[in-house]
Amino acid sequence: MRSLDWVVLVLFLLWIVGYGLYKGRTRSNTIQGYLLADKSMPWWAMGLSIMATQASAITFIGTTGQAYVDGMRFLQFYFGLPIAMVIIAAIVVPRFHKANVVTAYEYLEQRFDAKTRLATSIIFLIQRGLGVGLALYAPAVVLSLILGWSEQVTVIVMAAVVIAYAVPGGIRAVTWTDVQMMMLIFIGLVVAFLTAILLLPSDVSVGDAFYLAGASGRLNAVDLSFDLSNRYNLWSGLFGGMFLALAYFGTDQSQVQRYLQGKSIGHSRNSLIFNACAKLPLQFFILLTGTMVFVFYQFEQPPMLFNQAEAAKIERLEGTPLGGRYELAQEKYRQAHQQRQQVARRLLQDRHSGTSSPLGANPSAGPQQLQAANQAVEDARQEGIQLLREVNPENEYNDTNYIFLNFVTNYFPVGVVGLIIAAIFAAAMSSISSELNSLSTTTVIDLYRRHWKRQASDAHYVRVAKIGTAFWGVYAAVFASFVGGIGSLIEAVNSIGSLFYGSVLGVFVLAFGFPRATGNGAFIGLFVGEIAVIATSVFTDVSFLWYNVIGCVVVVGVGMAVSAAANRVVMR
Amino acid sequence: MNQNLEEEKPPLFSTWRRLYLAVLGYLCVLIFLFYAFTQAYNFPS
Repeated sequence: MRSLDWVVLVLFLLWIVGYGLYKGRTRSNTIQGYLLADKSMPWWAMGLSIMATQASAITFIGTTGQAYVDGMRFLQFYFGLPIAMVIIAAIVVPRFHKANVVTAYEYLEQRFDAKTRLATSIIFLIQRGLGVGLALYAPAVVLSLILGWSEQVTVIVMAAVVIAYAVPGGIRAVTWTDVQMMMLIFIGLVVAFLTAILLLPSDVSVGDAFYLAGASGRLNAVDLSFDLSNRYNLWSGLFGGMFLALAYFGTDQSQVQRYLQGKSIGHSRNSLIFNACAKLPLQFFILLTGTMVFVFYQFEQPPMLFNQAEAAKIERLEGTPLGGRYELAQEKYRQAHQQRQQVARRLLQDRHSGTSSPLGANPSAGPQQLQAANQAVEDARQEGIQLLREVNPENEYNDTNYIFLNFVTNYFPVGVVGLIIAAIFAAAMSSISSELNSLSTTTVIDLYRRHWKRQASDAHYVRVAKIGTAFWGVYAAVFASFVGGIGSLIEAVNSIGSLFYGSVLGVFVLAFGFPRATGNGAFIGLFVGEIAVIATSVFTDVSFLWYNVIGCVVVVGVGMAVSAAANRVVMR
Repeated sequence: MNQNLEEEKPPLFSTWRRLYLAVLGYLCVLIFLFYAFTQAYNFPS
């Protein structure tokens, strides 16, 4: 980072804190004001806040890296999202609005009983508590790499900035800063994509870049095969993704609270429909940026280890037998890259001269050579990673989250680096602030006000909500300080979510869709559903996206069976 | 009041049902376009 990059980043952080404090300056002395902005938000602000809450720093760091390593198939993860948005807009939003609730779990007490509300709110606190820690850790990785700070110091700085505007300003500050930060994220994405394209060699066109990415198997956006153990295909995306999105947007307070601020049911619905329309193109664009980074590295040698801190550890062993083996691995990697570059060049020459075409007699020969060359580069890289494991056997090295950052910091022009880093910060802080806000809301509304202090003034609850936001911020910082070493963060977050989401969704499906379902049925169903999901994750290789379907179906099935049995006893 | 709120019309199309169908149609078009994109740059390995 050079001086101008620092200026851009610091100005952004100051702007966000100042803007958050300004927008939240209305003294919110009522709990409705502090937690729901007195239901005064326009739909477009809620829509951008919903997107900003979902788009964490992981979206920038992890998704682009995933496209580099694995191609665009992760896109399918979002295929079920628009369907879920429609279902929530049609069924869930009117019920929450009419029930006049602050949290989703409050509705469950109106529909079932206190214990079901308590169980689901505690599950949310555990699940989102883990999620917010990971969401804080991701940008800490960014900063510690670029600024040379320790991850702990970075985590503390990040948490302090978010707490500075989220605690005093409440949801108004959170939502309006989300709007600003989502705009910056859009700008950052466009700039990153265009810069990646401009950095390609002058004789490589955008069409050539797509051709090479496709030949390397990186433009695999849709896979029609049906395989339960395959993490991302059309079917897991449509069904598993829909269930996950239903659970996330329909039952997770961090999202429910975004659209409950709406002036009306129509405004809340519009915010969800906006998300339904914008999310897939946005995600496509992010993944495409990752594939362009991959193409860029066809012509420029990428580092063998993208995590430079880990690479430095082994490079310090120069002169030792292990250091010698590492130098050999690096040489082999360099040669493999040069060969791949030659194959890529030849492939493009053939393409330009028309001797090889997807429609030609043997269209696969060139691409197959490129795939073999890519594999040779990857094999050489794995040798380096293996040596790293010999240095530190406990380190499960995974540098997916470092790829995009490495690219940005090494190749982007001055000022643009600061802008991209600011956008990554924006993505992180917009998620974290919404999550802290919702964790505090559930703590105050579903636990404190319901079980500890039922009769107090609004000013008292607002005070407790502020303390709650600060508490969860500190908790997230402590958690994030110890979370290092988890592999690809994006999958870790989603995997943790999927252990709980399906079962909680099942309870809400019982509440909305089955008038005969009872509180005991929902509670026992939730318990059995959770056991089913954990058993599936431990004893089978079924992909995590299907956990949501399994959890939901088991909860509904068991819940209805228990309810039917109870209803029969009552009738007798 | 809630009754009035629910009768609020969507910004596009005349009813919510039509808007929802349009969103689902839009999803189908997107998936088709992504599939066509995949096929256009797909080479057997």
